[in-house]
Amino acid sequence: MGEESAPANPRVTRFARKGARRWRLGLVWLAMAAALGVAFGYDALAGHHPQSLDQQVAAIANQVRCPSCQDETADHSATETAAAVRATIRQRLLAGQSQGEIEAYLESRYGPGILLRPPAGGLTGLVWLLPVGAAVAAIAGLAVAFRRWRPAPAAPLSDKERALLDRARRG
Amino acid sequence: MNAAVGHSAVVLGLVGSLVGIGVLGWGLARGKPSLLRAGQSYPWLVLLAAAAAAGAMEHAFVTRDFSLAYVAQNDGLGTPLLFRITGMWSALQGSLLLWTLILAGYLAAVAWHFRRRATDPLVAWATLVGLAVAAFFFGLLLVGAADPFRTVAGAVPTNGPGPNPLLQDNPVVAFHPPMLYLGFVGFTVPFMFAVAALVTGRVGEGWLVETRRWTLFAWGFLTLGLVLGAFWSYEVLGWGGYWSWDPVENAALLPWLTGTAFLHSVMVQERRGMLRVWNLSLVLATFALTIFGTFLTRSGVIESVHSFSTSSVGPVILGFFGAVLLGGVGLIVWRGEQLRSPGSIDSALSREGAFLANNLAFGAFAFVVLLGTVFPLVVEALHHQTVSVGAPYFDTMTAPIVLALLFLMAVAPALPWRKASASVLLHRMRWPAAAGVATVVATSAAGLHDVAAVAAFGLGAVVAVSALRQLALSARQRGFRGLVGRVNGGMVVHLGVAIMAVAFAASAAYGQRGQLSLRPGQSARFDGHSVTYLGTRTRNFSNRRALEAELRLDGGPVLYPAISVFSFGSEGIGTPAIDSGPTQDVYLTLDSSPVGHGPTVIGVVVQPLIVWLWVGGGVMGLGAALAAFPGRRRRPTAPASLPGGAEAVPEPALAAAGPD
Repeated sequence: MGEESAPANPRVTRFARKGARRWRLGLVWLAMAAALGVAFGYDALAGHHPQSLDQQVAAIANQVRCPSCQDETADHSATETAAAVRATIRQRLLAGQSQGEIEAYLESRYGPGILLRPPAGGLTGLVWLLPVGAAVAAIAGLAVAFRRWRPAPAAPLSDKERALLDRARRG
Repeated sequence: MNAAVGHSAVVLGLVGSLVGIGVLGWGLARGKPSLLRAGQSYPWLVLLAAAAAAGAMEHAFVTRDFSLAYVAQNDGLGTPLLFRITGMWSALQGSLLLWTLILAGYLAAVAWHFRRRATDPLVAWATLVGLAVAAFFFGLLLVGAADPFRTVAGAVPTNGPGPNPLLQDNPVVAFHPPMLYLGFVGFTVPFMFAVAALVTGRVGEGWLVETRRWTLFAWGFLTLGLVLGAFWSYEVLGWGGYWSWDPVENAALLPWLTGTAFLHSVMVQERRGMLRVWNLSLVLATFALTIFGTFLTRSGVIESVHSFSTSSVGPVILGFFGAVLLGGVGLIVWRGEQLRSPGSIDSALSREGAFLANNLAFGAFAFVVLLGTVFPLVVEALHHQTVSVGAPYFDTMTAPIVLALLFLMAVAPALPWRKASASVLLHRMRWPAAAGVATVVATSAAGLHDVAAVAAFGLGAVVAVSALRQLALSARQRGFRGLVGRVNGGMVVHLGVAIMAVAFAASAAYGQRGQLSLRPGQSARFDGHSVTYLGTRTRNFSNRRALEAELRLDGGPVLYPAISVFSFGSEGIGTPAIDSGPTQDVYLTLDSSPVGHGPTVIGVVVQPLIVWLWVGGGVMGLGAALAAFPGRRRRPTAPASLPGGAEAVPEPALAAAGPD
């Protein structure tokens, strides 16, 4: 980013070059944003394959605790109880049940602790709401702080100061 | 003999800490320099006592002194030497002993480092606080359930079961707990100085500068300890993953989150004199969370794969946690008036604005992890209702926070202090952004369409190039010295995080798992790999008998996943076999013992880019070491940064180099 040697009228050329450079920079960013939009749009369209039965089973089993383990999901665990849960899920998917129906069945069979994702309603809703509430409060607090911190407008530079600054900037 | 030496040493440590507190307290009250100097010798006495106690315990393990109840429970005639040595920290009592030893080491190191400033009240108070923490831990080692030197009642056993089978499977147990503890316990040092600063009223930036490297040291080891823990989980537990949001993992992650927030916000205070209360609170929270983590993991309040022990020390540790919290908050309130700082932040679009956003994100992260971890306990205690808060919750809640943090990591290094103009930012970010866009386009074109994962890949590339750009600017000005110091070391840490983020996203989105049922001689394909089941073999070790399946992978190497039966355990413990490569790992487990010539079930997990998790962790550790390395002192007249229109001005790579 070293500055070019000073031509005949340095100020005018510098402004002209700076303007051109700004334009170029803006175009580069526009092009990048467009490329990003195209790529993600393509992902969103192309990424929607219907899930295979195995994938559906895995997706549900990942939300369910292995009944005989401490902290493993029914998808990850190699135990027989986990295999039984996976078999149940597969059976019920084949019978046309939805994820919600299958989870409700598992909950009735093994108790509410079987679901690793706490339900959004009732008491367990708190575990979802509290962090969101806290984050909103913190962001609002920061916004208020920034508003309060807004500094008084700087006094305009005197000619002498401006000359000093110019000299310093030129190095 | 070991019991007698151990008990005496623990009592010596307790008495030494208490007398040290008395001497320092007396010296501070009377303003007597001679007493303050004398007080600085007590950390050495405490270290001697802790070393003697730990030495007695190691001696008992190595010589198989089964007259100690702890050794009888965690050592055995068949246990290999390495796992006898690591046996010391394989359960509650010995872990507390290791904690005490490391704490004593830190206290002695502080005493040595500040030996010429023994009469400084800040140092005296810090030492006093450190000795008080040490007194608590020595006292804890004398409490019944936590006493590692309790002797067995009745006849001395002739053999023991050895450590928990999961802890005698992989040499990583020799490194993971000590490193984690070096991290945990290391945060005691900034805590000591924070309390000392509050008590003495010297709440300016002095204490921060004094403890800067100590904090970095602790943070570096905590990072390595966490990564090694993930590595251990992957290599040993056999489910093909490395992080399960287990309460014990969460307990170790919490102080890392607040500690990382502190490492960033401290720069705002050093530079602008702001955020004093916030930084003190973060130090306090980090130390308190290490104690709270010990409570969670060592009191048996949560059962998990890591809780190898249950004990009655819970209430004692919880009480200490409460005292730390109340004392700390009380001190901050008491000094409230002095903690006010005149500074202000000019613009949200500035380095300090980015640090604030960083702290917000880390704070939210810590809050989510803490809430998710204790929520089931609270609900169970209050409502006698079982709920689980597991991986799906943590994944959903933390994913946006992690993406926000990656975004901040990408942009913040290019932001000047005070105020940035959009054009400066766009100019400085053009190459990092180009790298990110190129990555997104390339991965999409290559057929990867998981939007969250692709976003993480792109952001990872921006973070990496942004960090490299900063390092290159700095190295151009100062040669190899441009790679050391806090900011440049921090950029190396960012590079490590970028590598890990990409590996995390890849394995989360594109990992595959399944089970194959095979008879000897049969082959099956899974996710592009062929697995041939050749047969089984049995191997005998001193501590276990292993049934190994012989599996040929892709016609090449033979892998041997096993099920081991330990001499004292009836349950079989699985050991995975892993074929690691730079692009993906194939992870095989023996999920059921074969019966005769019947089929056996082989678990297969294919995880992309896993190796890069460990590489990224290593880069983070390297970055922490570089950051602690003394950089060049910034000239007080060096231009820090210019707000706006800086295109014509060479960007000062030193912009963020604080005083070292």
